Amino acid sequence: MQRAIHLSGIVLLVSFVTILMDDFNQEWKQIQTRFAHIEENRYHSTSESDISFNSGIAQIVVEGLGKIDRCPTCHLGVDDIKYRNAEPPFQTHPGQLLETHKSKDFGCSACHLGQGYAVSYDKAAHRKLEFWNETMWPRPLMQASCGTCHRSREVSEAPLLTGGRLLISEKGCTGCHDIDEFFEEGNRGPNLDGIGNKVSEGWLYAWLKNPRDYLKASRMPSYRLTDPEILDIVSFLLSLDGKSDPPHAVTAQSSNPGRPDSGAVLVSESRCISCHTIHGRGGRLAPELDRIGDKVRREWLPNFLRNVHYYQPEKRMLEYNFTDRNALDIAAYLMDEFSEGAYVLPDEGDVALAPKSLSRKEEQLKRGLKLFVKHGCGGCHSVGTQIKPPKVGPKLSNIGNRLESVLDFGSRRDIRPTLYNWLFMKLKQADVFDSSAAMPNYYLTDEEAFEITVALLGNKENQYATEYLVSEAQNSVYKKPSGEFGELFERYSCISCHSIDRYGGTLSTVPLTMEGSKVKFEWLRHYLIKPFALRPVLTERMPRFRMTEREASLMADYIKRVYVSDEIPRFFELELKPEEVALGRQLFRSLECVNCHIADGAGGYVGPELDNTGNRLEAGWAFKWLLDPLKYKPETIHPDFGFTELEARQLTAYLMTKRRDHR
Amino acid sequence: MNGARLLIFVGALALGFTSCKRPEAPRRDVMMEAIESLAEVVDAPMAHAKQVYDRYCSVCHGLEGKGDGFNAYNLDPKPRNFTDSSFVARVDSGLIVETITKGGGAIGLSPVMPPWGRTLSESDIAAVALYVRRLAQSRAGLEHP
Repeated sequence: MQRAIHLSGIVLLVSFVTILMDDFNQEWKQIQTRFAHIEENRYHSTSESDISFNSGIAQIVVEGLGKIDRCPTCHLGVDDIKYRNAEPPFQTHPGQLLETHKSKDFGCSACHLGQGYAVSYDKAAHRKLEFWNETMWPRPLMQASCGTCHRSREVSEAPLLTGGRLLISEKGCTGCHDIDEFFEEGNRGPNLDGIGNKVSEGWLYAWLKNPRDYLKASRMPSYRLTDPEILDIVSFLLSLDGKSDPPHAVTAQSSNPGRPDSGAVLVSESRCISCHTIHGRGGRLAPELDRIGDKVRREWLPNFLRNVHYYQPEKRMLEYNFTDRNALDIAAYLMDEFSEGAYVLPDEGDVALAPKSLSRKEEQLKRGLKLFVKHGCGGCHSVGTQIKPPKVGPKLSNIGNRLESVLDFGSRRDIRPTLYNWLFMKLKQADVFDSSAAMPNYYLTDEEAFEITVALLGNKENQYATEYLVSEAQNSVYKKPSGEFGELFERYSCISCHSIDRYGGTLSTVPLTMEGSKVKFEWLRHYLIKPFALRPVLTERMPRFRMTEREASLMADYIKRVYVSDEIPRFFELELKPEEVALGRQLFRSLECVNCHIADGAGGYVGPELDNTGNRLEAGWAFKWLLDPLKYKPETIHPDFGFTELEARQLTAYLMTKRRDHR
Repeated sequence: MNGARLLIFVGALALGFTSCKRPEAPRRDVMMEAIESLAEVVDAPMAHAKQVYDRYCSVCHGLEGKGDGFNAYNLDPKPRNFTDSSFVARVDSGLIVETITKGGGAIGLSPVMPPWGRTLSESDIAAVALYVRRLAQSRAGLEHP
């Protein structure tokens, strides 16, 4: 009995000593001792007690984020620039991020993840541990965290996240998945009513089989459909009625079948290449035209060209002032030149599309409709006047919280089972884990799939208090213009390329917000009738609309009255003195403006040519622009030379003397 | 009888072997492997610096820093070739920052190089300076082994 008491006494003593030793040897205590002796502290302190940190456990409590972070217990130099070259874990936080996200306000684990409460390397989950969701991000994935609070499409300091979000929008992920309200927009694909009048069955079949056969950069993914399935869908699509009496019906007559040579001239003159790719060159705003002749029906094309907005009201394409003859010429040129041989249905395909009995046909249409619904085609394409169908894919607004232990990797045992691997691989090949997966294949590059993964990983609902969330800036006050100008503005689809108050297209380098304060009426009127390249190096040029004189006057007048800024002085030219011209010329020469601009017939092509500035620009605009280019166009690469008002006046006075007689 | 025992022994041995599984192959981190080659994309500060460089500088200095941007033909003196080994050896980051900020004219070089101090932020200029040095070192390293 006594023995037992002795023995238990010894055991108690040993365990007591062990506990004491353990506590004394704690990782963080050793690290703090090491910190006292690093170079940065040795020079600055004379004795150990002089070192300017409170030893012991340090913690940051951030209520709104639900975080208690003890990271500063070991990361002792994060906030102090003095430690920028110190050894880990003492070094200063890199970059400028902590200036806006102070560690006392945001803590550490809201961005880095991991177990902020722990005070040892392993327990804080510095490394990825299997099936443990809240381990720290590996460095490449850091920007996912930005996305949890920053609920806007673009986050300037996080290019990977922004890239991912732009891709989500561009690839049309929201057609099937609810992701975030800021992704919501109109249909990604065209309305399909009357599709049978537009394209051939052969093309439709080939397109559904693999869209990339026809269009390398196709936005439509590949659905891995079988031949009978495709034929059922084709049959259903061909049954959709469309509009059939356009306001300007064009029919080819034997006397006027269209002349390809004048069509070619029109295509080049209209600058179709600004938006469409032709033989590998041109814009990316609209589909490639290389095989348009194999896709659309010969009767449809001239009618479309004359009635663009009638057939497709959502279309961003502009409606040129073509005559019937013009439309027939262009159609003849495109149909003949842009063809590599017609698409055909597979063997017996035409028989399958025309079953002998009516009931068989009805069954086929039913099957086609069922497939159409099953694959969520309505997510991107509208049909009839139906309301938007429910989305067929799962919601992704909380995907970042998906537990790694429930992810289905199929039979792939060779993959590290993390959420990022799962998302990345599914994005690369939708059926990689499950051959019956509903999601189609998008053929993303590694870079694209990675960026989308980063954007999705940060999607976590109800994670943080609302005051931490940054929403999409309400920066657009754009209102559709009304009246006759509004109609013309719509017909020529100005907003597809130009922006107004940061709303609209980015193809043009010229926003219209203050265009009326910038250019002169006469110049603008001529430019609308016969546009030319101010910057010849750009592929994207203003198309020639074939606008009438009256239309051009009306548009120029409206722009001069409405799209103006109060900050631009209106009659500035009258205030300029003749003696300022010579001084301005001197300044123009000494700054070597011709390095980028053409003046007196020679110079660079970076900026617009300046030899007609006096006719083109309002003096008040030129003056204000020279003083602060970034204010009037944030994306400009024109350097701000820091001119004084006097210098800007002199330069303006000189530039206003540069006029060509015509125009 | 003996034969039967032998059979049982061999059977047991075979069973034993099958239960000795091979150690599992290390699991692949598929995404991390795939993005290894995308260092310039993943390294966020460098990617940002590249964006700024491509936008503002490459017009004259060229995308690879060889002084062969599309506007270079028009300039006299020609834009600096950053991959020139003498440039790499001679210039420090401080001078690059100063040149970008104040322009060539302010530091006794040609005014063809405009000042960017009022257009770009201090941190953007520091980032671009670092990018220019990296461009210089990597390209020069390739060309002058």
